[in-house]
Amino acid sequence: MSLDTLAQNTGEWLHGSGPMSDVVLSSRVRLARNLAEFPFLTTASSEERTGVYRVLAEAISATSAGADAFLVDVEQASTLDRQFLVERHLISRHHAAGEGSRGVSISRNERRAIMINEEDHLRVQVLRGGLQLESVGSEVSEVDDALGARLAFAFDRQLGYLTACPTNVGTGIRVSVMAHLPALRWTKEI
Amino acid sequence: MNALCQHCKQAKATVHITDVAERRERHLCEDCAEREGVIVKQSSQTTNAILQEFIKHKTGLAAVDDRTCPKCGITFREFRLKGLLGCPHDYEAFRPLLLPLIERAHHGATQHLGKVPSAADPALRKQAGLRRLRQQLQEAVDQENYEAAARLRDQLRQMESAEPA
Ligand SMILES: [Zn+2]
Ligand SMILES: [Zn+2]
Repeated sequence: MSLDTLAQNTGEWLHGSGPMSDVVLSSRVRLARNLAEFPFLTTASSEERTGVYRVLAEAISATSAGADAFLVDVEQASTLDRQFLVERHLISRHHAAGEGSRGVSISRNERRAIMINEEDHLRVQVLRGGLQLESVGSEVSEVDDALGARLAFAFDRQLGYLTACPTNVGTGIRVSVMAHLPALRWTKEI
Repeated sequence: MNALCQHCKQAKATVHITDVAERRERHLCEDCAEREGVIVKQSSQTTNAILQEFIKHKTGLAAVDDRTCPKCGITFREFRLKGLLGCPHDYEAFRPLLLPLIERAHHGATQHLGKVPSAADPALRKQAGLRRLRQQLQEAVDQENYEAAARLRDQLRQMESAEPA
């Protein structure tokens, strides 16, 4: 399994299928986590950064988080491959343009992408076609549980999960729905 | 500033007055300023007071900015410039400074009520487990599934009586 095989297929959300896919193009849930024993990436040394990568890559491959998935070393990947990953919404631009040890675990159906060493140590994304927030949310939660059972995430009783950017602190979860809006605007539903 | 006096429009404006109440600036020559009852001494006192306020504000900010996380060494100033923190401990080191920011981002809430990590803290895990069991029990009762309710109640009792984790 490699990027070449991915390139020959299209991700599920690209089919334009799924519930309410005439209006909702995709449902995405993202989650941010950091390892408690490492500094955030802003101050991490390159050794620490490599350490985070190693610990997370191991945990992903040893749990259901990495089931049916393969790991791409983004630092070693060619510019073209990085661009391909950005276009497929599997990594962020920030991740493609970044520096140092980093990677992404991608499930074969392209539904799940787990970025290592983006803004936070761990960024989990699940993306599906149509309106499927519930199933997308529970898949993200499963990944979180599987990894959280092995790893100590940075957590504060008052604030919740700790993230590099204080506005993401708490659940560390971001939900987004990409919708086709003109029809809605026309009927004044929003 | 080489502008002419706004009043006589002849002499060079050397008195510059910021009218705080009317939020406007006026530039007058010394003669017109005197005629209008603006005494230079008074105006310099005002400037001095404003300057002192300014310095106090600046040094206050500097004191905040110089706060440093003992673990990663990042200063609050560095955080302000980058928008990103240096390590998890920063939430401890800068807590009072960060809370207003977090509050704004979360529409006023600063107490995390969501999921708790399973591996990080056994006590938290137990609390979460208890809460989940109670919820399941309530659901079973609501659905009149008494068999499941009895089983959940036993589990709950067992967990509640267990040594605190
Ligand atoms: Zn004048
Ligand atoms: Zn720190």
